[in-house]
Amino acid sequence: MIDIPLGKYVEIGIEWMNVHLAPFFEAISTGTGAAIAFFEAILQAPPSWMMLLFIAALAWRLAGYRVGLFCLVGLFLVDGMGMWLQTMQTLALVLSATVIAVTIGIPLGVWASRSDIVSRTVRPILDFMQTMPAFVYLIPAVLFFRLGQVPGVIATVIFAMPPVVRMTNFGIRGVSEEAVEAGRAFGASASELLFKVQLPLSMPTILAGVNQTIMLALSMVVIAAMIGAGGLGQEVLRGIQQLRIDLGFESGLAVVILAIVIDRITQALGGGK
Amino acid sequence: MTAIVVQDVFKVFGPGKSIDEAVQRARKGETLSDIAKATGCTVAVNNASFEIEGPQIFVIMGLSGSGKSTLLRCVNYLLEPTSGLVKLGDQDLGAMDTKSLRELRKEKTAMVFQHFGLLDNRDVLGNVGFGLELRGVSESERTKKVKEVLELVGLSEHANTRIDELSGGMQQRIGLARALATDADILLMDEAFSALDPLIRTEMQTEFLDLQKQMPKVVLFITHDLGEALRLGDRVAILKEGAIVQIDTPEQIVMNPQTEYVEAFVENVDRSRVLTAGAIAVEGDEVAVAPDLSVDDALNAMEDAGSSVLYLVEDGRVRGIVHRRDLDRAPSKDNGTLQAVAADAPEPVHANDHLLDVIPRVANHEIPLPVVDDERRFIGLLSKTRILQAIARIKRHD
Ligand SMILES: Nc1ncnc2c1ncn2[C@@H]1O[C@H](COP(=O)(O)OP(=O)(O)OP(=O)(O)O)[C@@H](O)[C@H]1O
Ligand SMILES: [Mg+2]
Repeated sequence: MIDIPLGKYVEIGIEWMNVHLAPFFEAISTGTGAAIAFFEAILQAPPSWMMLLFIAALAWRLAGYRVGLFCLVGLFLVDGMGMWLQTMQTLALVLSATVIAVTIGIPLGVWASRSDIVSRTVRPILDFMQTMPAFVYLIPAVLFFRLGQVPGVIATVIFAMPPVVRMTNFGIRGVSEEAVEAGRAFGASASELLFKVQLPLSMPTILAGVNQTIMLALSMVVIAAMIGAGGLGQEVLRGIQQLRIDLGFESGLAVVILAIVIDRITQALGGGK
Repeated sequence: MTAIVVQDVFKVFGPGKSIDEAVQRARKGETLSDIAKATGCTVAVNNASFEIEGPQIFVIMGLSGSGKSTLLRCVNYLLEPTSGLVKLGDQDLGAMDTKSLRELRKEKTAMVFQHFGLLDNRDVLGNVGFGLELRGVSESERTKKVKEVLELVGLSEHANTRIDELSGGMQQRIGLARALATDADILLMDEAFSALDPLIRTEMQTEFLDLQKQMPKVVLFITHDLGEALRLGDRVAILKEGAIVQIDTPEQIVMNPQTEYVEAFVENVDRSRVLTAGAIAVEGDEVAVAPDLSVDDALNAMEDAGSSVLYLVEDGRVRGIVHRRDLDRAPSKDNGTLQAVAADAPEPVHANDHLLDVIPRVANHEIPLPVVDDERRFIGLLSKTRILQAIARIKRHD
């Protein structure tokens, strides 16, 4: 057999990048870290009962009393199982990743909607990204950002971004041609057209994309515990590694509750009643 | 100043390198399908020219694919013509940069769309005020203006209604209101009523004509419906394969179609709805006489004209009529004038009345009815025979 030391070459390449692009990675790392710290601070500042009531009230307002009630009971259970802190850590990771993914994803989607070339280039990349198993994203994240929350969030951003890009592109292209023409006919500039016609009219679609992105982010953030991102994922991992059924069940249930809470609230935000 | 000038405008879609060639070929008069075969280009507008002087409804009528929408979009440069001149007032649009074109669209033109082109995420207020918003008008001023315009289109109750809660007719009123709110002088309407069902459509046409009377604007109205064109248009341009084949008043289109194409179009039109009394009235010079004419001269005049009735016309007004049979009863055959035996003239027909509306009255009279213009001046006569000829398309002189 021939020996193909591909890994060796890649390692050399990555080391080279780590040396020469250090400031770049450093900046990303600092920014991401700051976002995580920010959300953790907010989510962990109030006592659990206050936060719990706040989330339930928010859900009630946005999505009706059933969802509000579910949030109340569900989160109460989470707290009772002793998973509150981990849940808030996970939520902070999800929010950080989502904010970053949306901040990059929406402009990218807008760009793709305005240029067929961009759209044709981006689409296969997104398709490829979605067919990859989630684990694969952990490797480059670790290579460039080592272990911890930051690489966890970065892997999550990459994994969770496709839906929001896709749906933004799709939504804007789906805006009625006459509405766009009306904008132009009344003298709208390109940016007025975007902000007064195209984005508002495609908002329901874009928010559906954001919802998907958030749900993907949650699933990835749990997996990212493998590279030390902490949170609920870490409890799940411990439960598995130590064969502790109680821990495994409780942390798993907390993930499910968190998923439902986030999903219902963001769906309601998207206008689906 | 002429409101709209469109001169030798071509609009060709297709691969960039063949566009010039397509225009050359179109100028030489090759058919569009030949051009399409040779160059792969679609000539959507083929050497179109027209001028609109001032406030009026100018209709462009043509079949699907004849280039109506494209031509309309050349007028505000939403589409840049491949060649030719477009002027609004004294502004040559081809010489303007993007920014001034945007300003022009904000200030001077407004557009109404077939499927309304409304913004579903906004309520009625937000839609009608859209043009003003782009102009940077403050919110309070906008609301004031919007309320005014909603009043005009009869939807003042609905300022805060969501768009998707309105019927099609109401949505199109909103589309119209949005255009009116900007106070633009020029209205561009692309099949504005085509998506409405027939009853509502007729209603909208009537309202639109009323509105145009209240606040005359320069309206460029696109339609594929000849009936609508003839009903609304002060002038009508017929478009065929991108080229204008005839521009005329509705009556002229119906009475004197200039090509077989137009003729085929107008064949099935209900002419009594289009033709006006003034357009088909026959000259009345021979039978219009002064009231102080002597009875003898009157007898001669009747003989010359082969008519048993004379119309007494003074200062252009019809003062009365005289029947042959009454002349015999004239007090003195030698020096009496007609006034003594004159009868009241029948109520004249107005030149702008459609035949449909005057037929019953003409039918009820033995004699032809006098036709008068806006100032009630005598301009001619309308007889039953004449109406029948006009409806049956028998030309008078040939
Ligand atoms: N953007 C475009 N690219 C290529 N061809 C076009 C484009 N817009 C219009 N055309 C072609 O130009 C011709 C005229 O189209 P246009 O839309 O102006 O017709 P229309 O009279 O408005 O028809 P309709 O009654 O269907 O609205 C058609 O053959 C159409 O296919
Ligand atoms: Mg059209």
